[in-house]
Amino acid sequence: MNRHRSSESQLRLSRVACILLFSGLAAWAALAAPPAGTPIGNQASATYTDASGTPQTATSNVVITTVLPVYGVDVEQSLSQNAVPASTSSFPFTVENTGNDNDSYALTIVDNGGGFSCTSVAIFADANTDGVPDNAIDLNGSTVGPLVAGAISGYVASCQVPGTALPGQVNTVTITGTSQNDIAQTDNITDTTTVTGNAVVNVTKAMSATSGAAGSGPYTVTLTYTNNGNSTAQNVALTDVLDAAFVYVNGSASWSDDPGLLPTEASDGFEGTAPNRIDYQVAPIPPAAGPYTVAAVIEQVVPGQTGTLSFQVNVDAAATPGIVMNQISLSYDDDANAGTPDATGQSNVVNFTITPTAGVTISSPPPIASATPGSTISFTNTVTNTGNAPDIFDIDVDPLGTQNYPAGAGFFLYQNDGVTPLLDSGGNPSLPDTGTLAPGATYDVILQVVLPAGLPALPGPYNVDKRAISSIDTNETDTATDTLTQIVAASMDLTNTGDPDLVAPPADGAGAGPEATPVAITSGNPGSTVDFVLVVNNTSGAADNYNLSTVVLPAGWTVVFRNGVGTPITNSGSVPGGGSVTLTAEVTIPAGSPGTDPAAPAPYESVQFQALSPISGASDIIHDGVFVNTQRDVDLTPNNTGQVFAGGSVVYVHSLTNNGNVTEPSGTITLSSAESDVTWGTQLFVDVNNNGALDGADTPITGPGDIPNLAPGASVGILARVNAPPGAALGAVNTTTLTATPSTVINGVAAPAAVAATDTTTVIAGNLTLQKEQAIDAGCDGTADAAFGVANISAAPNECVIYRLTGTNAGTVNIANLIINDSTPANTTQSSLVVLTPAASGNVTEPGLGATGTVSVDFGAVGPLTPGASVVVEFGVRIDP
Amino acid sequence: MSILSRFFPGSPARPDSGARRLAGALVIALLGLAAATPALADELAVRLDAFRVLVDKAGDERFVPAPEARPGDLLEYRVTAVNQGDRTLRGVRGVLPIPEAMRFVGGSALPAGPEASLDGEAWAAIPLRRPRVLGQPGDPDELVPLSEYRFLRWDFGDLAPGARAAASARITIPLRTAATGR
Repeated sequence: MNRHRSSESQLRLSRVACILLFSGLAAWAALAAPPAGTPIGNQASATYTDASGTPQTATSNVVITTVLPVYGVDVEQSLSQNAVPASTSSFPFTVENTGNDNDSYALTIVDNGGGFSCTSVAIFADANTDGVPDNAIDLNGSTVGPLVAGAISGYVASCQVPGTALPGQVNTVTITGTSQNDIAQTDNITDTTTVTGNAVVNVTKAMSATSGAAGSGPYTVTLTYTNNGNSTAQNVALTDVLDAAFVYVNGSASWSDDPGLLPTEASDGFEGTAPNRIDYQVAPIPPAAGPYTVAAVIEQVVPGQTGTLSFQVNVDAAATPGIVMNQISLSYDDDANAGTPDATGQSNVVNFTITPTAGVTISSPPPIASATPGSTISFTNTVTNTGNAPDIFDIDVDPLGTQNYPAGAGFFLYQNDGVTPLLDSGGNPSLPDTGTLAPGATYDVILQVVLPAGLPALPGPYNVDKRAISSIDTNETDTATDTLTQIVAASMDLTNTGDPDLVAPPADGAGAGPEATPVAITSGNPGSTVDFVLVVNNTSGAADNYNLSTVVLPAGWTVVFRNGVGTPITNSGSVPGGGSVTLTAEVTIPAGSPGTDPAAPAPYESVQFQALSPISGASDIIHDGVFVNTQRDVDLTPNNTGQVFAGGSVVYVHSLTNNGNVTEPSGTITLSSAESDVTWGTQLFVDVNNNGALDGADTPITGPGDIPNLAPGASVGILARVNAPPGAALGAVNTTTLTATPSTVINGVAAPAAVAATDTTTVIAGNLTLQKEQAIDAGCDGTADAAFGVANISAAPNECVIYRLTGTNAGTVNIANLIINDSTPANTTQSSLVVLTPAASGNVTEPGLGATGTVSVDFGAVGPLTPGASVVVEFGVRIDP
Repeated sequence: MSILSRFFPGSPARPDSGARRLAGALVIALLGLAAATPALADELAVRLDAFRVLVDKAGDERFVPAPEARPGDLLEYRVTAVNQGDRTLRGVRGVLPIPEAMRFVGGSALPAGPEASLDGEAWAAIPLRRPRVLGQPGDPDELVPLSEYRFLRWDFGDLAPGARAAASARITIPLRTAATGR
């Protein structure tokens, strides 16, 4: 047997499995280069967790790469035949478009000569590949096509053998096909004719149909044999190795030479009546499993005789769609001499296309029971290729426009990873698809529905259909329904502890807030922070997240929310349905905040925290309270030192300050003094005008009621006039201890301990004589009307009196710190300013014209009064009118 | 044939004409972020680029954008992710699908060592293996052909604000594949 195509044919058969012969069969031809113009789209994605702990997905831009054309041609196959002189040698061949775009091909046949040259050569069309030219049009030198990518077209080449050719002479012709879009793409075959004087048998094969689905049939295979030679051919053996896709039909054989004979499949030798006998057999014989080989030996074929042998086959139900090729091999005794090798040949190749049977199912997931507004729900539908060929399934969501989800719902299709959008890779260009699925394979398509915010106007259930459509046969579809049963308002509960679903122990703050009274009260000092534990409970069925805020807070206070690791947050992060997350609210109490009165009706500062979902609107407020601790602190400052003459006095200035955070009321602080030397005495005054000096405005402290209310931070001036006894020794030291004793309970807090300040006074030397004289100055002109004297005088209202004080150092040492004090008597006002002698010998403090008060001249600030020296202070007062 | 379905944008930032086919307005949910929603995620910007890989006379590689490519050409996809927000994004992973019509070139992934998947659900280190179809029990797993790889995934880790991560892989458009013969 001459099977030139042995290894080639195997390769060719495999390539041909990729032929596109049906529109929409792009999926079926998944193993070929994609057709020119195919846009190959791609889109990347990235997943991550954002700062609030929520998983997120980002998708990239879509990149489209359009496939450019490539061209190619495959011409098959080189054959050899015998022919007698003056006959025509016919060689079937095919041209396949191996590129990815439409193409046309220039066909040529060239006579290479050899032992003889053909009288003529030609190429004829053979569209049905039955080995017989369709017409007499010579296509040599013309262009055939266009052929779509993967298409195979059939032709017959012929060489007319001259009558002068002699047996044994050999001729070859070369048939070339060249792509018209890329002339570099070309292929050729060489066909060989050997001249013989003997029998020349040619056989062609045809099938009653060239395509059919798996399981279809029967189809009639017809082998036509002809002896174009000069002598009888004997034992013409025809062998048809059927492809495994075909199942032989028993009892279907028929032979034209003996129409009444039913050739038997068994190997039982020649049947029929001589000279028309045939040895027909099929091996194996059905129902034994194939593949099957039909072999027939026709005892003789005389020159010019033609005959047909036919039988039937069915396409196996399990046959894989694709193109099946078949070719008859032939051998015969062409010279009636069993000692010489038999002649051989082969028929044309018949292409039978096993058409794919498409089928698809798409599953409906169980309904989702409920979802909250604004949430995203996900449906997984499994698409199964129930056909027998690779297929691409387009996904059409809501094909009939009947979906009834609330207005504003968004629908998004994803690949089976739930992250990458479903793209279009074939089939209907306006629908995304599953990509190519092998027969029996499945693919999960994920539909995510983003529900609009707000409760829907209409109740559920909400349905959306999803239809899967085969690309091979768009009539093969299946539809799934994705159902959401109901949409319920999202809800959440903000508590201080615990699960709101538990009864014991009960969650603090379970239920909708804000509560009338604080759920938790924490106490803290001013200028410190206190923490509240907050539990964010998602009482819905779907995940949600919540923004955190404080909706009630005393002025000047601040709140920071922190997560489990102390990071400040403003959102709870994603909380799964039915789950919870625990946070801390850190409240800062400003310094100086007043203490909370425990006896008050609402003994707390209210703080209200809110969790509010930006997606679903679910929210809750919890009411908590802060008890500001009362801090009491009274201070008496400073400690002073001073000097005094025996019999003299000195005034010390102090501040009584409230450094606590509640008012120390008037009447609760007792000021007292004690002397280290009991012969000394101290008078205490409130420095009403707060000028640090003892003057007429200042009130003596006779009891705690003389101390006014001291608000937090407030202070009151306290003046202490320490009096030295006349007999005090020079250098004696007396320590006056002033004590401020707070009392009473405020806000339940006991009084702080008493505070004290000390004034340390030293007696200094002084032999000072001080004489006071007076004189009338009736006209108030500042000049005495008469001589000064110590006697009492009478003055009328509005008249003036001038006083003259003379201080003389009658001692032997300097008097260093002399201060001479006097004051305007009652019912008088100062009428003339102090005049000193010597001038500027002291610093003068006086009430001023028209005012009352102390006249004090500090001579010591200027210099000591030396022994024997004197100073004079003169000033006038007017009697009140 | 267009690639991205006009009906169902994968990201709500790109609604387009096909969306009107739905009864009622197809309003993209702009309500903020829930777990794995297809909602706005502007903090992480992801970019995909396709290039043809050419070799110039000096033997160096040059890259030109690839809006078109011929079967047989060598192409490179590059994925870039940039944190455009002001907070660190954690556990960033980039996914590059390998389109049906393309074949992944083994060993061309950068950074090396992405995981691969055939179906987008199960991921494993390269090379992928699976049990032999017609083997005996106890046979070692066979290697999955590179032509079947459909997704690559890289772990970029955490991205601080302003940080960028990138990955690339090379692919070809097959000229013709040797199919299983008949």
